Amino acid sequence: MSLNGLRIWYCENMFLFLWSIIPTNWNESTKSYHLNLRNRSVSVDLTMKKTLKNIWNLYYDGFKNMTWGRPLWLLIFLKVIILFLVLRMFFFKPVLSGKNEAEKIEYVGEQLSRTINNNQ
Amino acid sequence: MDEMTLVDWSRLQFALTAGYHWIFVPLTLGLAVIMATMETLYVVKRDEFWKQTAKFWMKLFGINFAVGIATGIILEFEFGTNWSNYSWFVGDIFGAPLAIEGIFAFFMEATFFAIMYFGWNKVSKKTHLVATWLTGIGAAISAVWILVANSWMQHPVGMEFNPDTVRHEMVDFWALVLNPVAISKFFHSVFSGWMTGAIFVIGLSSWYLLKKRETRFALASIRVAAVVGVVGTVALMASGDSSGIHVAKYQPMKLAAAEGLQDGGPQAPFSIVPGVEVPGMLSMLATHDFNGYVPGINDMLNGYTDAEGNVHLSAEQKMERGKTALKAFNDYRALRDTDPVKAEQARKVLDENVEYFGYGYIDSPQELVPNVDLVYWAFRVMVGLGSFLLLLMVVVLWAEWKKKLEGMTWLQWVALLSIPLVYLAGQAGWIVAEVGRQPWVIEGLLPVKAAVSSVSVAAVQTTFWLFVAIFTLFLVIEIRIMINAIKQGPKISNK
Repeated sequence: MSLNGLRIWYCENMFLFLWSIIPTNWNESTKSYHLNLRNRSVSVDLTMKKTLKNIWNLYYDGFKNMTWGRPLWLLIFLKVIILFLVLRMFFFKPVLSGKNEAEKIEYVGEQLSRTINNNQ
Repeated sequence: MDEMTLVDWSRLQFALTAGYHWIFVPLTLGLAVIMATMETLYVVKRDEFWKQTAKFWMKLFGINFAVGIATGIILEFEFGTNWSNYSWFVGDIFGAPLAIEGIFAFFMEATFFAIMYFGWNKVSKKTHLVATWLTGIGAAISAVWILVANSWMQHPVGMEFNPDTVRHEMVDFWALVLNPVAISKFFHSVFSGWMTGAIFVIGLSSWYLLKKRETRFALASIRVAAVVGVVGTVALMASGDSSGIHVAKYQPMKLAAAEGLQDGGPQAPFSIVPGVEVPGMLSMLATHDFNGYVPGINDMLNGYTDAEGNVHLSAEQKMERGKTALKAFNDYRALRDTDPVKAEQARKVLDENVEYFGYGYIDSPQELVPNVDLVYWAFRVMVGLGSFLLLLMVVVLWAEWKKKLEGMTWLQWVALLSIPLVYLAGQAGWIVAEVGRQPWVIEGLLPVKAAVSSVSVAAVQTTFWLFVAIFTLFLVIEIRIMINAIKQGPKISNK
């Protein structure tokens, strides 16, 4: 599977998961919900619906009744803030960001050539 | 000189971040197997004691995981900022495994972690057990992709260089995944995790024995951990042997540096410490033949012919061909829009010499030699501590088998004090792997000095010290949370 294929697979499955929680087109004859996803018909039957509810409850109750895990989640939250809102935004700007494909090729080509010229 | 300083700071920062990340990874890999084994005993024996034992180690696993999580992301920031030439040059070869790792890790961790921690009273025992094992397997699968990416840098396969895009393009995904270096590196890393987990559990359990509390829990934990540890360490040695063969084949300079071998040949000796050698042993380890040819540093710099009659170019010859490749690369870029015929000729020259591309950046043959002292001693620290820890686990297992461990206070102290040693061994292993391959970021294709971005030294220094402060803070927080959890203990009856 290509990288792009993986991205589509990820998005589709996340979409399916989120969409499945919300009641959509109910089909009385098949006793299932139907939705169209990238031209593919996907049905979500009652058993699936119940499973998804159980999954929701697992996470909801788990977080609600957490004891020693609370400070760890706080730590993770703090770390993510520091990583993405401080380090990533203020200190780690990718050198090639803001350039289109052709500009990136030109820039790196120049950089590698410049190193050669410095060496020679 | 400024450029060198920039390279040094960028490398130092990367080493700091990777070294910090590796504090958490091996414990995750090893503790996962130990706690899953304990939970298996709970399901098989239907004994609540094993459930409580597994739950305690899961708690420490969670603390370690929470502090370690996302520390690897900083490495990706550094790729984009400090190593932008490298990041572009490697293309999707590096990006694809890391993207797969990110997606898989997210799905596996979000799913099975939740069941493992939140699902005790919500799913059946067997489902929970499967989730616990899959948590460990998921962590190992994450390691696969990281190590595939790393191994490609050590032994680049399955790609072609495209001068139009100035990057390597993947032509054979399976060659990348089944890279022999990646396979041995994966098993070596995962089994080093088993050893780390085992020593961690044995050491902490020994602390409970020294404190004369939670005795049944401590002895049971030691039994499981020692078995996992001994099995893991024997497998670690086997994968290390396989890794040694690959290093000898694909990165002979790293092997020569790790042995301090200036002049090689057949029946090459293995150095235990300077001045103490075992004749022929290095040839045996590197080629599985006492008469096998192992080149030394001088052989590689001056050129040599191996036992099969293959002629290996000298450093000067490789540098010459590298300069030819780089000139052809420049000519191709300059001429492709104005003179297609000459551009095509330049492309042909580039293709003929592309395997020496990186040597074009090398100014003197001595640049091709890594820091011999550091690699030599790091290798001895790794192997020496690994051997000591294996012996420790065997002795602990024997003492527990003979029901003598509870009375052997000295052994409990040794086990407790050995916890930092297993981390030291792991870090030393990565020093051998990463310092040993210098000056290359991609073996033979790109040296670190060409891979580094044109950013200011001050910017890299600032983030380096920022990391030192942040990492120290998080490590102190982790250790404090973990010590509190350990002091609290599993609170299991000794009956």
